[in-house]
Amino acid sequence: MASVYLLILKRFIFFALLQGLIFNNFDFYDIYDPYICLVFIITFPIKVDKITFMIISFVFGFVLDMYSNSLGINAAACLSIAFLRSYILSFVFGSFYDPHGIKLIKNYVLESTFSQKFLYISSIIIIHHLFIFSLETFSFKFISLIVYKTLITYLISLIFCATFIYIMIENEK
Amino acid sequence: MSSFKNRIIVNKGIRDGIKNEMGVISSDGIVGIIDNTTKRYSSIMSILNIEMKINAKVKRTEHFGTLEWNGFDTRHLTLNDISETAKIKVGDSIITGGMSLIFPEGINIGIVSKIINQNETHSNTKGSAFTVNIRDDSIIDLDIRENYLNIEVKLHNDMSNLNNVYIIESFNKKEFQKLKK
Repeated sequence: MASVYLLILKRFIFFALLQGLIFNNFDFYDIYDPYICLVFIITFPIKVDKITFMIISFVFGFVLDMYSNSLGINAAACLSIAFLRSYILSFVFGSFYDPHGIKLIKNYVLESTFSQKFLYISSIIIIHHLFIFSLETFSFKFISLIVYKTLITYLISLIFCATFIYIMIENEK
Repeated sequence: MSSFKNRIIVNKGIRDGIKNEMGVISSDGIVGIIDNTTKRYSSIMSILNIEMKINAKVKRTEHFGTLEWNGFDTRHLTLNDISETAKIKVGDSIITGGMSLIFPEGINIGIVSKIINQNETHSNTKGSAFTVNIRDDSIIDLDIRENYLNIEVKLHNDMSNLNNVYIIESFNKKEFQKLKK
């Protein structure tokens, strides 16, 4: 178990720095930033219990807030997505998902179809972005802006996150 | 730049005489409004903020309207509420109007880069042939209420490489506010 927490700590530092120092200044078409930090939440070990996961995600979001000068919106979005992840997992993987985490990430990668992986990553990214942008504007007046920006940022985030997860899996092999 | 509500922090604060709601300009055009101050620093609500509304007018014809940001394009702003009868051309200068207590009249903002006639788009989205026919016969259509232009304004200053800004204070603000009560 200690090795799991060590892994989480390593990833925590790596993704917080990566997002805060590099990808926050990405400025694709001046305004779109990919949220590479979601890889941390997507690949978070399943055997860690939910409360710990939520606390760690909150702290992670809080660190991102410090980097991006936003008043708690990253913390709120990361916390919500940490809360929703178990539901998304059971929705996407069905009976294959075991909440106690006996199966390894490798099992999830090898024994699931492409559409399952795609749906899992996409739903986490989209829900996270919707949370972030609606909290940022905090008004229904700008609903079209929120949806539009969510979709475009989703595409960029998806490309980067998928590439990162692919690299991580290849390294583990 | 990647936010809907962009902010700029400058290294002058209350110690240097900066207060809330002071205007911020650069040598090319307007930058924003001070919205928070500490002892040594202050934060500027940039014009690239979806909640920002600035009174602006066309220099040549003196028509005035409201300047807003659409949330995406960092080089252009939109000038709304200008009457359709105004004969505005592409290339006209846009300056700040005199109706604000924050900016004085006549500070450069940008030039007109595109005029979107809201009236035409309105009748198009309605999609009724009836309206189009009436307009062809050049009878005034009373059904359309929004006779306003949407003007795209290209900013003079590049918001991504600002270096030095000027912070301006309106001296007669208190007097004016007294009168307003």
